[in-house]
Amino acid sequence: MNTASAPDTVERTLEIIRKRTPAYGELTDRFGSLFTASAKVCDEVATKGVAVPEVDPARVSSGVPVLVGFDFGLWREAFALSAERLIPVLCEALELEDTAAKELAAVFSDADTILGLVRARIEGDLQHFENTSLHFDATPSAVLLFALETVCSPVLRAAVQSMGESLSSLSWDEGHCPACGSTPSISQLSPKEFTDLDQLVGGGGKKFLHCSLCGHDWRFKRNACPSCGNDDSETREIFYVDDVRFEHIEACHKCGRYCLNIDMREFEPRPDLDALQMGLIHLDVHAQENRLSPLTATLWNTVE
Amino acid sequence: MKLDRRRFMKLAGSGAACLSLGQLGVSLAPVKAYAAEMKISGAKEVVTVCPFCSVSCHVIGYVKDGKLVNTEGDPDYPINEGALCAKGAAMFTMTTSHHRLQKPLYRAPYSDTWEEKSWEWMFDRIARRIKDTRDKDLILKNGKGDTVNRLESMFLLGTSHAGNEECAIAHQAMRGLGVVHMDHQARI
Repeated sequence: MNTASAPDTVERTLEIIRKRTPAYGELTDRFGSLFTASAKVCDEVATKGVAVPEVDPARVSSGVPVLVGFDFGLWREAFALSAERLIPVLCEALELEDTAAKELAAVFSDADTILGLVRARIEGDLQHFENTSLHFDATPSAVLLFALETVCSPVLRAAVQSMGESLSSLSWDEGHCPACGSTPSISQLSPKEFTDLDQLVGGGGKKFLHCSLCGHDWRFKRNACPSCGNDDSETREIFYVDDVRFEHIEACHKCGRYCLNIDMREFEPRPDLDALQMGLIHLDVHAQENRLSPLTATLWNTVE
Repeated sequence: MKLDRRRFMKLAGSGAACLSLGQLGVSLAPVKAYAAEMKISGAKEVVTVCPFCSVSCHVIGYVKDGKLVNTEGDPDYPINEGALCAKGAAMFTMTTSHHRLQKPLYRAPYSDTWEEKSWEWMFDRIARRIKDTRDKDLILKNGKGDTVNRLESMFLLGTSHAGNEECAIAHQAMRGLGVVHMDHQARI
């Protein structure tokens, strides 16, 4: 299932968030441009074309995500283009001072540094970010990590889209992404499916986890926790706002994690899942007040 | 608001952990106030089986405070993949409809009215009728004089909602009574 960002979908989603309540006004005004710019870069990279990673089903079936061990050097130009487009927008959104902005721009003007950070991010080597940030005066590792994810995300999204069937047809039951290995930031229930059989109603509702980094959506068991696999109905709970039943918190009281979920059967037109998370912080607040922690920490759900 | 030194030090101390909006100087007070206004409910997802026909489509029931509040087709079940027929889709209303029987009703032979009875009375009555029928109709020997212990005036219709073990118990119970006519809902 492809829910890749498109600039008009992002704009529409930001509008939905703005209309919901003025409480999100500051956030959409400040960070909206980042989502739009990211979607444009994804389009641009996809149009120019990216080297498509080879999918080895045997390797994937043993639990190894496709991009582990991939030669990211093949995407050097795409990362450089993404950094050139997004770092100025990012500095604006983060409201970095000139010194910090210049330093961040310098870090991301070196393709080798970007490639090293991408590899570290895919391999989960967060220490590399801390070590790298030590070389700079005004770029803390948390900012470096966020900037790297911002830069590499549209390239990865474009690559994942180009992989098409070879990726979506893989058998994958894990709670992390089969493409890049990242954990999901949100999940969705698929839209209604229309069949030739008039006798049947409903359909759809299949759960897809949405990767926090590359945006790939992969099928996952509907009534199981993506964090620990728990499928016991007594220890799992769905929370929803009484008159907004298409946005859920899927909570697992066994592992204490939660993941937000959007029911696409009720959500028309379809939103951009990455941008939408910025407008669901009220659900994160509720979940965290109930001593749950997010499956994947993002800028939008780190509320304390 | 620019990232001042105090906030920068806070950021620098956070390691490679995730950035937070607070560190970037964003006040979440309006969102938190919005969240506080919301009435948020919790429900449990329980997978069950549609009671209407032998296809036995799986259904997800949402249970809130011990009460069923919604149902939908289970998309992970390979037979219905989330879809339901009109009856299955209306399953939830079966639990809330005022037409639904909630207590056992009994209509006596030749009567035109239903009487409310207890389950105990019903079980006793069913057991009595089975016993009387068997005592009256049990065929001990066939025409050749062979022992058959056969009861032809009773019939068992199995349900597709019973598991293998339940079917085996029901089957053995009927065999024990001598019942020979048995069939299954799945064939209807």
